[in-house]
Amino acid sequence: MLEESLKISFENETAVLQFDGEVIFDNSNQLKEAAKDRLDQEEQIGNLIVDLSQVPYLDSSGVGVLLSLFKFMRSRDGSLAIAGPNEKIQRVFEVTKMTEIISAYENVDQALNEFK
Amino acid sequence: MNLPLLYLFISVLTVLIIVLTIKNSSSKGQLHKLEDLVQNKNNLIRTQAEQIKDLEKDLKIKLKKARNIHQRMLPDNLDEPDNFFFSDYYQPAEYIGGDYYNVFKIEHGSMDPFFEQYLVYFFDVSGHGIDSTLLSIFVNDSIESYFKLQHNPGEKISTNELMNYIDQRYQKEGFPDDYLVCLFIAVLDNKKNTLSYSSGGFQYPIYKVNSKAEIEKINIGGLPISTALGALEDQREEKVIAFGKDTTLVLSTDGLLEQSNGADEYFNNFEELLNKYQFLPAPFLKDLICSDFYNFTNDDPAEDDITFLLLERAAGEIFNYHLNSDNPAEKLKNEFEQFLRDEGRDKGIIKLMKKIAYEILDSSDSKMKFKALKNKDLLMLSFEKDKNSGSWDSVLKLYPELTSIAEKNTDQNKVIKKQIEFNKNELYYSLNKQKSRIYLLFFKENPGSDHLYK
Repeated sequence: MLEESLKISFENETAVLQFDGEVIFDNSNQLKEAAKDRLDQEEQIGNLIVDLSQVPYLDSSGVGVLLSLFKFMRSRDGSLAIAGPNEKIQRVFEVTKMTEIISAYENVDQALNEFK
Repeated sequence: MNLPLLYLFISVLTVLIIVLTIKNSSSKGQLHKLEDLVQNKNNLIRTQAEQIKDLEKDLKIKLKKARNIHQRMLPDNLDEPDNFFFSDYYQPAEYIGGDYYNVFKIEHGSMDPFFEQYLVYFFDVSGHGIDSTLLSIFVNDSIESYFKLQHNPGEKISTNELMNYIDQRYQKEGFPDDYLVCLFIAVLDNKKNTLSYSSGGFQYPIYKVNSKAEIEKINIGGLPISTALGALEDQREEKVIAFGKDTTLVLSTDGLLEQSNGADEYFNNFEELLNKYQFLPAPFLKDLICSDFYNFTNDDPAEDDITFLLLERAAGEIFNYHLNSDNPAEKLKNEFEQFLRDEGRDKGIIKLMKKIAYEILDSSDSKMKFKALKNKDLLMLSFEKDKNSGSWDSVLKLYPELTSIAEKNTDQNKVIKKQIEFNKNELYYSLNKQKSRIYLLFFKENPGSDHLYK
């Protein structure tokens, strides 16, 4: 189940983490821990793109996962970006002013270009 | 027949029978063993299922106890200025939740005559379990400790500073970085007629409702409090809303407006509802929101904690009276008669309203707060007794003609009404969540008149 809702791929020093489905209270902790476990195995990774194109909804626990990953990457002197958020998630980012600390891109390719 | 051959045949047959007998008895033994094994496994599963059932039961009992404690921590009554009506609603998603809210009067000691300020706040801690509740207790404690330790009477209260104080305290505790607090803090200044506020985290807009105009949306939000972000000073600037007469501010955490019924989100219904019934006083608007919300969910429990607050600065004349040994009911009745001087005191529905009011006052043997509002559209009375002085059920039993707006919103077949028809010959009632306060309301104008219905 977790395998289906979390996929990770690597391109040079950038990791692309794709969530598939809602990131909410019920699954947020599992997803966060699984993502960090995978990233722990790849110490060279300095940039993380979270692909939200397959995420219809994030609740506050879901936002908490992104903040936790933001801190995780910052501890590596790395950076975190999101890609493909839907309108609703974009609104969450705008209202919470998280766009000031986490860059948002239309899609993964755009984000990858930025990290090149 | 060849005799040796016959012997050989009989010998082979005998051996075969012996082997088969041994094998059969061995298979039977194995079968018995297997049956025993299955039986043992079944017994184990049954025992474990019973243990799980017991654990679940135990957990539910513990959660119920936690819920009782949590309910006691929520405010019984919100401090309400004389010229306001506040109404609140809270329903946790599970047994307990991460939402919290309160309104209290800010003490200024000897400077009190120069100030009349109230702290209004609500917040939502991510998640909705015991962990969230514990964090919400921490945040609430931080707010209270600011007023005990940091604020001096007469000093200006900066919501931005207060937000920073909570943030710094939160960071010091080093809570896990995947929790976040979405917080709204405001100071209602009843001398300046303003609401100054700071906010952080995901927030739906504040709705500013006026009985005669379109609702206004005031966007709020900002970075949440989280150890992933560290302390953020001066990020959550203070803003001011003018809070004149005939204004209701509707504040809500995300649970109410994000609720989905599979086809739609409640957010859209909500704005339509406010635009349609903006003339309702806060307690009745609260009832209507609740009934509309649960109609929307088809009476299913909400997915998240539901918290909303309505702060109404009413238009019209307001009469306040604290019933106690120094201020007896007879004195109140005389003053109330004066208050009603132009209201056609002995006619129709006012007569019934007065009858109920005087029966309540005559039968009251404890302290009670009485409040009345009159303006050109309506007359509303409110009776509030101590929370342990029983409910208002007896009044409702005695006067079955009292009508609840929530009931009017849905007919007996559970069909939601598109437009509630108010009738000037009906007397409406509303109760607060503890049922310690009852409101009686009637509209003076004919239902359907232009200024009541858009």
